[in-house]
Amino acid sequence: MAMAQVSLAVDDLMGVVSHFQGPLLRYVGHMLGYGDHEIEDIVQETFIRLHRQVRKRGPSSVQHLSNWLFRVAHNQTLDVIRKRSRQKHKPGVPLDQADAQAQVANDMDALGEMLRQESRQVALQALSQLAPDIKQVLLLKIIQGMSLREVAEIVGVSLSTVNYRLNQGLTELAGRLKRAGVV
Amino acid sequence: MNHEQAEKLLGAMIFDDLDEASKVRLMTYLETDPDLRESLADLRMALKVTTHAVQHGPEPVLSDTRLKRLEKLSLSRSHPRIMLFARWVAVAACIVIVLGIVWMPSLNRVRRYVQEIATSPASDADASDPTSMPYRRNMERLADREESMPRMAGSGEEVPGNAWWYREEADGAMVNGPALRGGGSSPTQPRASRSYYSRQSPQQMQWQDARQELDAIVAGTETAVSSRSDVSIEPPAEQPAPQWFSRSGRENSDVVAMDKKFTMGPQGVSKDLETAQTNFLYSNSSGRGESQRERESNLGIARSELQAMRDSDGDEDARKKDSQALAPYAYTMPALVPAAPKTSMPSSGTESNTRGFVSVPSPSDSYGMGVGGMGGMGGGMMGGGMGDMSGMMGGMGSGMQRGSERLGEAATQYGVPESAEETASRFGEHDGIALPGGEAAGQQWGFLAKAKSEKKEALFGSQPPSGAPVDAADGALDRFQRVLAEGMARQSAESDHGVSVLADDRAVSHEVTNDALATSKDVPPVDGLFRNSDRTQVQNELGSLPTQLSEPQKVLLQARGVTATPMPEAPAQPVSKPANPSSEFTLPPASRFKVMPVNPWVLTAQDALSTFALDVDTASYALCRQYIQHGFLPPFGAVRMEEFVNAFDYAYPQRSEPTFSVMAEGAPSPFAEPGQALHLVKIAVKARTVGRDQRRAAHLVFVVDASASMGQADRLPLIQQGLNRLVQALDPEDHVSVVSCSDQARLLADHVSTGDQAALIGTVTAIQPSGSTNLMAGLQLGYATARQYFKAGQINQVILCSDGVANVGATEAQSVLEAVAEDRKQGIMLMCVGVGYGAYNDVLLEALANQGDGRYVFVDAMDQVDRVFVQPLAAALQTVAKDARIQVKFDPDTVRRYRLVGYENRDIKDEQFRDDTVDAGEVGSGQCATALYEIELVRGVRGNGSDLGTVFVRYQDTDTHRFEEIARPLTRSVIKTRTVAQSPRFYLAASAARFAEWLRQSEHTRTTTLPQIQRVMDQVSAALPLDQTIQELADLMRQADGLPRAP
Repeated sequence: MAMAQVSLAVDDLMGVVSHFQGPLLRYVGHMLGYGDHEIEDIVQETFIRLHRQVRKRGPSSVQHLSNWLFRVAHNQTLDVIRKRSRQKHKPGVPLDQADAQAQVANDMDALGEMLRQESRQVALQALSQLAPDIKQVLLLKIIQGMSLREVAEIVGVSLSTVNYRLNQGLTELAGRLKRAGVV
Repeated sequence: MNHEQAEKLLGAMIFDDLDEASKVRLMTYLETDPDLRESLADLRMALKVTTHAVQHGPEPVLSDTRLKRLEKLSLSRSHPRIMLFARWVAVAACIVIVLGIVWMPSLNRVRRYVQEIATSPASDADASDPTSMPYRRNMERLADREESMPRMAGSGEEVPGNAWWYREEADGAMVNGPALRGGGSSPTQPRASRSYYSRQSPQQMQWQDARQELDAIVAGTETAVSSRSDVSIEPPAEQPAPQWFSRSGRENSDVVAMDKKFTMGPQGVSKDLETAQTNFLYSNSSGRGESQRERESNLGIARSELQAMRDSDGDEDARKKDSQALAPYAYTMPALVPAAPKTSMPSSGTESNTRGFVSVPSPSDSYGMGVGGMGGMGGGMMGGGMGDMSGMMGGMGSGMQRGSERLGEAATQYGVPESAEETASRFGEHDGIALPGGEAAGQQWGFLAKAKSEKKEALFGSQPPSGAPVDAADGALDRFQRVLAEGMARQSAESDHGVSVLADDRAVSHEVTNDALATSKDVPPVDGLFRNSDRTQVQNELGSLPTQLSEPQKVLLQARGVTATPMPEAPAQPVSKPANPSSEFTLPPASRFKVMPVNPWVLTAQDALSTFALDVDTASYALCRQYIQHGFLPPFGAVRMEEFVNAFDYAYPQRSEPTFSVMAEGAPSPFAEPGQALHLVKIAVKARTVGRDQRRAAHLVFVVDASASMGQADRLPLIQQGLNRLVQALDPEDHVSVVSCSDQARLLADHVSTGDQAALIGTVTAIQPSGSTNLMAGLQLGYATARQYFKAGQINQVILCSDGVANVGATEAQSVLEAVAEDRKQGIMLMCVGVGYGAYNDVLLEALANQGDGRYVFVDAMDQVDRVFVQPLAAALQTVAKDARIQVKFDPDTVRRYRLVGYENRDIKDEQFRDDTVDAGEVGSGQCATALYEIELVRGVRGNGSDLGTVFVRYQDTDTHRFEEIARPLTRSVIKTRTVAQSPRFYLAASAARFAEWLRQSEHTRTTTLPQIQRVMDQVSAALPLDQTIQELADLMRQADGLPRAP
């Protein structure tokens, strides 16, 4: 996915917006929890910053557009999360897990259940309960299909840490999904 | 590798971030660690579910208000191109202003001349009066002489590279010309005019004016005059013969050395001067080193302009380059004589520059002199003054021509649309190199030639020339030779540098030329221009150019319509990440396959009819085999269950009548869960076998994909071998045409009888893979050939052999399909032979075959050629039925529900079964299609008499062209309890289908595990030990265990 926008001109702001708003909104959305009021703020601010950067420093100052955007969005998201953790704000949209579990349990069709809202919700629930630093690694991989190296660059940690978090995240996810009867 | 190490790698493994070596090691370890294997599966599943959840639904978008705000923001910003264009305009305005400033004095001077000549007659008294005009002109002339003296060359002063000005002055001002030479004693000769050469540009003369005035005031008029008069301008007594040379050896072909001294006679001088001028102009225009280098500086300047990096370094560089570029001209001027100046002179398309060498023919042209003088200033006043304004002005030394040219370029680059032709004419090609300013240069040349002839006439036209002008020119030339000799060393030192600069420039000019001519991707010939090493360098730089370009340069190139990336030589590879980049194969990405939802269970009470087109393809099985053998489970879309089933021989009896025989077998499903009363029913439809004697003559048109991607061992060689075998198997009355398609389609064999086997085999063997795949052109030519030799009653078939990567021409499958469908109606059939599992485009080839009434087979190994390619092709040649479709009508009283295994993409609506316009499957002689139904019987029905339903087969008979329909009852008695040993082929079909469903992760096989299928399969292979294909299937099942899904 990241390979496809080589042709995207950095200075074509609306082109960049239309191409990246989906992935960015998803990323920030999952980081903060869906329905959060700050998601769009962050994404919009990311694009504005890109615009400023391009105008000030020229298009060549943004080498890897996707990395740049996700890094900026990522940092803003972390700021929000940090701020909230100080305010003891609980992120995420609460889900009725028991209900979801019950519905999942009712349906034993493996392929069908993946397609069902319930299992999706279970997965999202499990994802939202992950620690932010683990979640971000998983999301970058899932949403943008980035390589470990790119993720490490964006998050600002070493390659092995990314690998560890990735494993950790997947293991936790699998555990939660298994308990919920999805896997 | 131990458990912990492996555990750490699981995440990377799942995300495919592992390098190949680690992956192999991990896979090897996983073999020994079932726990970890299980957790890997868990993680995989968790990721899948999560990914699905995260990616679910439409892409979120920002709210409208936010989008509007962003849009406003993006529009509010002034576009960089507009800014740059404005900058160019500003620069142009500066040029005009400076030109005005420079011109005005000379204008005034001329006006003054004219006025004074008209009002005051010349007198000696005037000449001594420092304030009078004639006096000042005398001084000026003295200064000229002084400047012409040897000190000029020897003084170490930088010769500005703009050499000599030819001057003529009006009579009234000329009284003292010869007198000066003779120390002021000789009386003047009455002369109509005076001509001489001077190093002085008009501007310098003005300076001299001022200086002389000052001198005169300080030292007194008389002294000044006499001291000047002492100076002789006699030519130096003896000059060493100049050493002739050619720059960097590049002009060798263009010049011959003049190994004689200048003759000093007036004619000789004039001739030499003239030649020198011509030479200069020619050497300038043909001296690509200079023009290239100059272009380099042009480019450098334009780049620095673009990058808005107008720091003084850049300007200095530009100026330096320019003065470097300019300096040699002065030296080369007399040295180089073109072998045939007039005839070989390029009339256009070369870049010539007015550098101030050009004489100005007459007083009336003295404005022009002022213009030329700009060039004369070189890197001096103008360059210095203007250089800071912008990098561009550094190039002023090369004169107006280039300035206007660059303005033109600027206009072209920034928004002024330009067609390819315009570009081509503007960038006239010279020796394969685009040089800008072609037409303008041509005009310039014409002007110069005219000016020269005028000058010549003025000089020597009416009277015998003698005295001062000639002598002055004489001395000047001598000095010139000295300077020339000095210049040698410098030049040769520069030449190496020149090459690398040149190479860089060429890289860009190639891009421009490519674009301008919009032609092939071949590099224009560079013969005679570079040594081989230079060429290599150029090509290297060509290759590396895009990455070196800065963003503004890309903008520049894009503005010219030049793509920054070089034309891809190799066909585009599939986007997906290859499983193993180092190995020679790449697996087709999952996106190449269309995933159809698996047929659901249908309650007979709701829909008793199951209708589908017959399908005798087997390609899916061969493809999936490749995936598994390379360590991956195939993508879901690659698995077509019915093709797995049809891939095996069920040993149905061969019959010559009727057209179709329908056979059915049934048994309790071997994979049913305990408690489920499911049965499996296998319905086979077999076409009659047409004997050899009944075969009709055939015209086979082979369209062989001969693109570079076909060069691998598993592609073209297989096709060639298959074709050769087939040619041998055909009858002499059959004819074969061969079309190869790479970049273009070519007809290699045109309706050649198979009696001429050697010729055909030679043709087929000679096909060499190269270029890209213009599949459309190949098919068009193939169909055209088929139409040309079309005979009713004959087998007319186009056989497309390709790896399916149509990367040139109409790659859209749809356009190909439409063209194929058109000819299908005429009775030309298409068969597709797929090879190469790397870039293999399953969707395209299968769709093509379906559309073209044909079959589709896949060949992946030498030993498959006969079985898959030759024999079925020979059979498929004789289609016994067209548009064959099956409808099974189940009896709701006996069958509670049913589901069809496979045939998802062959589905026909129930009501269309008898609609004969609906396209369906082709069945060749002796071919059979097997369909499997899983059914659940209504409980309590035990009687043998009741039927399960009826099988209808409807088809168009190829002999009679009539649609026929047969109906066979599906009796309850087909369902028996069978052991594997009794009916191994029934269980073979069941296992193959189940395996395909398992590969596909069909919802119906959720509870079926691979070992279950393997157990059945092992019994089948034990019962049929001779059938290698069955052994192979059993092996595949073993290999498939634990494999990851292909990306």
